[in-house]
Amino acid sequence: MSAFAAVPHKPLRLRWSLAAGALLVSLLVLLAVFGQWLAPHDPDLIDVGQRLQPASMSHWLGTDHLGRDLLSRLIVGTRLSLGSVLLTLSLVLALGLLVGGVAGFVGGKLDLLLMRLCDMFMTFPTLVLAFFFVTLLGTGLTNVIVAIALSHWAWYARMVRGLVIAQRGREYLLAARLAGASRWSRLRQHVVPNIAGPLLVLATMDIGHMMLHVSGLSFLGLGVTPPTAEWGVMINDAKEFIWTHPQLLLWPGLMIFFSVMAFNLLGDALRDRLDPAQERH
Amino acid sequence: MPTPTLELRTLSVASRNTLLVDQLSLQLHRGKVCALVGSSGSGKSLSCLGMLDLLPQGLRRSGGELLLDGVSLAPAQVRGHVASLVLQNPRSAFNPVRSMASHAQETLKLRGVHGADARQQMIECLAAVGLGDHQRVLESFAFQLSGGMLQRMMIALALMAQTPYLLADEPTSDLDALSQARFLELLMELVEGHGLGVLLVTHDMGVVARCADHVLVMDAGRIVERQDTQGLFDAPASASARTLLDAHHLLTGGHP
Amino acid sequence: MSLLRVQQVEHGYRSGGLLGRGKWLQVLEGIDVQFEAGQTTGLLGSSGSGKSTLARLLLGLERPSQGQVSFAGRDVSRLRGEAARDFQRAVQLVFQDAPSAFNPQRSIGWSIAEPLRHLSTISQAAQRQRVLQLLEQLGLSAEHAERLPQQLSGGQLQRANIARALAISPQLVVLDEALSNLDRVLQVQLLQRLEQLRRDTGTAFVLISHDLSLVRYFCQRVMVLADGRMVEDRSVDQELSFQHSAGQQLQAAMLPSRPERARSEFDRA
Repeated sequence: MSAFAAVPHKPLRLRWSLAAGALLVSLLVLLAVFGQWLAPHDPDLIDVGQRLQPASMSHWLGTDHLGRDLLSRLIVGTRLSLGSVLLTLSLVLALGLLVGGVAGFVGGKLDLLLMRLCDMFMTFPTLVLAFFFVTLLGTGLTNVIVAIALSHWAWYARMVRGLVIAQRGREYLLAARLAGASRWSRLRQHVVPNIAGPLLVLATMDIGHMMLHVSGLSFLGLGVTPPTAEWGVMINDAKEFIWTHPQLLLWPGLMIFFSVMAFNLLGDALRDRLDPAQERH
Repeated sequence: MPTPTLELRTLSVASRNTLLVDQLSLQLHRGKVCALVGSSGSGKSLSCLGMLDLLPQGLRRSGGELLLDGVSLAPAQVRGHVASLVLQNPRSAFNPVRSMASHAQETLKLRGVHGADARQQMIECLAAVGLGDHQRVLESFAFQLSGGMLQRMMIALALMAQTPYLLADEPTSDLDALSQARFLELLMELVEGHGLGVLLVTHDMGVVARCADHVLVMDAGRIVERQDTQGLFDAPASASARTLLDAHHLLTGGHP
Repeated sequence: MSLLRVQQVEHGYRSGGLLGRGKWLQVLEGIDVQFEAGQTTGLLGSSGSGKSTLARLLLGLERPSQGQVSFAGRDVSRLRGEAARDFQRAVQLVFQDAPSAFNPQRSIGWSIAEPLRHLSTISQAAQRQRVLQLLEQLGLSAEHAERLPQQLSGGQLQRANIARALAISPQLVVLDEALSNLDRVLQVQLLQRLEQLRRDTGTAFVLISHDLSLVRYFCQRVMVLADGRMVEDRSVDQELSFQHSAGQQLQAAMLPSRPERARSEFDRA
């Protein structure tokens, strides 16, 4: 702790992209947390007699091929789709920060070793890893998360390492050293805050990408499986009805689209906001 | 026959809510050095850039008519043809991925000089500024040359452009004492030998003492005093001039 | 009492070659000097003379290829732990480029208090007091403490830089071309304040500069560095005249105090 505010409060200037992005993301988080209470119907309630109904007063978006309310499934699906992505991201960031941070700051042989490790993991395409884990451990969301995390962390580690190395030559690190700060203090108090911004932006913009992976793998039948409500699964379920009832694909597709867009907007706005070169007085 | 002049009339520069330069007027004469002095933030650099309409984004320019020997010209016509610019940070004026020769060729091309003629003029101008090792210099990139050499390269480019006037914005502030001395010597040679007319923006009264014929003192965007150099040193009228001269005399004379 | 002793120091770098060993670049040769408590010493030299390298060696940031820099009898580049901190409490450095010497994410007050956090045990309240005192001493106001580096001008940042170096009340402060990017008025102001500080607390200063006028104004003693060698070491007095050509060159390069251009009548604008 310090006698002075470490980071003085910067007035938050609302730009439309930051506002829009933040709004959409908040909406999604809301749906993810409170979805099961907001859903008008039980998302898993099968009612074959009501199958493939168009939009109506009781079913705002209609029903799917098993008579389940589409809207409810979409809402409840948010938790899985979003949750799994955020979980994956946390794993990736943690690993990336640790490995990349140490490699960049310590350098030398340790750096070389860790980078070769990264290279190894970067050669695995996500799909291949996912298949591998499924073969080994069976289908399921956990395995999908692990697969995506394992194929992405190395890229983040490299990014973090690059950011850390760029900071290392900065004179304020030298000043900190002369002020008696230990290596750990310097890493924690000086390096991390200065890479957090760019890293956060990268991560936010990558969420969209990861979301597509999760949904995509679920669509392929490798992750979440029916009857669980998840957007990718819903698209998979609906693929036989693409010509007759395209709305079954449209709505979950749109949810994915809006989620990816929301996070990209947020990432864009965060980057503009956190870039010290764009400081406006 | 009146002395050739480059005149600036009532230049104003404003940011969104502040007036940074207020109706500045000045005259440059061939073979004379006019110094524009003031402390940091007085608006002198902006005046220099504003004169040639080279202001950074977000600043508005108004007025600032330019007259060459009484004939009105647009800033775009003056830049590179009538007046060259030398900046404080020479490195920023060069394209980092192009060689010095490339920069020189571009300057000469604007005057319609190509090929062997161009090469000849390059060598002459480099020699005039003391960059005798012309082969090496022309092949070099900005990062390979020191600040002092880059400043001289800028003058060389100005010579190649054969502009009768030169605007220099704190050209020696980033140079060490020896480079500064060499640069100013070169400048005076060009003024006395080639009749170059110079606007020299500086905060250092020592530079004024060394080079200037005439001094304009600027404070908060306005000219607060106009005098010839000797007169200014003998009897400064404005507070700004007195402050600058006090600091100058302390550093060139006494002890704390 | 000598604070820092530089004994037979030589230093150089091997410039990188892609294959095999590159060329050896000698930067400093045969440097043998002492810095005394309470004295102001000027280290005069033009660029390429090796002065910045010497500054780094004085602070123990690099180990000389030969010889040693010692503080209280110990080699400064080999200090660890508490001994290293003792050294940091005694000797501090002010960098030339102020903007890059501050963490852009932290307030000025936080940065100035950094040496106090790591090298002293005073309370947070006391730290705050000290920072405010330093700001006032250097001509800044209390509100500057809450600002970010980007919000201060170059001159203000350099004052903050000096404030940070003085925070821990060191016995010796090395100013590595710290005033070179400032305008003359500010240079004089800062030197006057530092001189006052020296009189009040006995802090020694080493002013590394290419500008003889600053050295002559502020320092009691001047050492001239040229091509990595110490070519002259003398006291500063009214009639300063150098024996060695390097010093003479720098003296000749000083700008005149009175106007030089002889001129006849000509019109005013």
